[in-house]
Amino acid sequence: MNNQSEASVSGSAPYISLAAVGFGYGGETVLDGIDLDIARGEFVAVIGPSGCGKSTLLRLLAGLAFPDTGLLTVSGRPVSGPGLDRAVVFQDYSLFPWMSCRDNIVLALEQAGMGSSRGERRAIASEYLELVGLRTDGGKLPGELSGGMRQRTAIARALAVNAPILLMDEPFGALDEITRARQQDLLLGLWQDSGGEHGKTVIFVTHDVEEAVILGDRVIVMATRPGRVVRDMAVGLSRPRSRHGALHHGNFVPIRDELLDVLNQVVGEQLDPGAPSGEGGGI
Amino acid sequence: MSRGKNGKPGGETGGRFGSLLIFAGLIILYSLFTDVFALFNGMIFPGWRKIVPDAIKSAPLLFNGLLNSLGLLVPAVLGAFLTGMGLGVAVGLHPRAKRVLMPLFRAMNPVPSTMLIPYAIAVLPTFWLSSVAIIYVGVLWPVLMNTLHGIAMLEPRWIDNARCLNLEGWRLIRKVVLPGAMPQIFAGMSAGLIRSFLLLTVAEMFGAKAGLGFFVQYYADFAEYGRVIAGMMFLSAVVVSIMAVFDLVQRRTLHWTKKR
Repeated sequence: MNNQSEASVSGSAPYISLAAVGFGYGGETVLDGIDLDIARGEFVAVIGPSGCGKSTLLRLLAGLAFPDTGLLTVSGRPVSGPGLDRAVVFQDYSLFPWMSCRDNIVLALEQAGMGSSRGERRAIASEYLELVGLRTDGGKLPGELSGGMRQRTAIARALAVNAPILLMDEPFGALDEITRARQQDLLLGLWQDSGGEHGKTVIFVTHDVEEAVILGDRVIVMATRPGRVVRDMAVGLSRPRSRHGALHHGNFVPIRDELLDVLNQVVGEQLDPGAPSGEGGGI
Repeated sequence: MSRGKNGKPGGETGGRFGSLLIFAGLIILYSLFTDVFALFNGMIFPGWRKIVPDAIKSAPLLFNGLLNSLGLLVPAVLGAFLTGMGLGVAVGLHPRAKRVLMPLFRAMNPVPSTMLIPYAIAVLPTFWLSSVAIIYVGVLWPVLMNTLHGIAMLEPRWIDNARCLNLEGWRLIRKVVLPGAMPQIFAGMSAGLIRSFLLLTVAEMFGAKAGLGFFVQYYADFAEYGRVIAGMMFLSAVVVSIMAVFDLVQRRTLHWTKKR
């Protein structure tokens, strides 16, 4: 079922490409004219106020919905539906509550055609649970774990199926501050261990500016009504990175403040759409 | 059933103890009204002194009745559970079929299956089959309607998740649709099971030569109220036992709902 084939990806063509992508729902334009090229191995953070369509963008990438206009391709092929080449981690519901954490991962492995026997798949699942620090919790139901542990299980599942693309929709949005910080470090570590910029491509939706800067190579800022890209900013922080290292990097504060400015402008327009856009130049 | 967040085993046994206490109190109270002070009509409300020997005398007959009743109940109820779920899943997963069939289901669902008795007897070759059919139809509706409801109520995010995993067809049903709809399906099966006990006695009114409902009605005709009460108590003991097994299966299957 894996749609990607190594041969078809030439060095120059973008790995993931959105060209003038538009999407509407119930008569309202949710996304309008999205142009975005993402290279293999990039870690792209997407931020924007609620209602800017960033989750919808992720649904399009996941193949759960299809663009009304424009073209969305992965490895040069239009996305025709969900696929196991794109592992999705949702905010707090990536796991089926009636299966143990290990069985959730085993099911994904079965679907991906990985492991030759049930025993082998269980072993792979245990290996990845251990990787995210949940070695002894595999037999528990998702509902018996904390939110942070559930998200770690979901990340373990996404890594276990070895999908080249990870789509993450505010995976740490429902977590408390400290847990979130730990998950960010864990994700950075896992992504770098899995090959970093030579490994998995990550598209990470968040509403937290600092999170976007800590994790991303690139931050996409979106605005509302209609949802569109207003800023595409490279984060020049070195790799490999840790949360602590990123926060104390000299460039962190300027990048964060610039992004906050852009977001403020976006939200200001949203709150006061009638205001003359002459001042400040608009976007 | 209590849905306490952390069901303390102590509370559970405490509850059972309370039930037993009330049960024992009722037996003693009945004894006072009949055996001791004879305040009731002794013919319609015989005391334990009459009921207990009658029950012992009737034991073989009651046991035989139980087998006959189960011979009606088990195939009818299991058949209704399976076909109700199967039909519910088949229709529930196909929006167009559901749109067409739902008004029909809504119209047929409230018709008491006892009203079909004359037709069942006229159309079906044996009385046994007619009785089974009446119970079957009565159980089928709650299971079918609740399965449809359960599928309609499935959380969209589960379906998204399943689609991201490329789950399709039978595997989608087995891994996601059925487990996700199970709480609702169990509600339907529970309602159907309770209805099946009512229908059992009705179904045993025609054609049956044995059975628990038949036993009660038969001896009521001869005004043998000691046996009637013994039969009713045995019948409720059977119902309570079956419901206890059902509850156990339900708790085992739905244990995840308490841990969400």
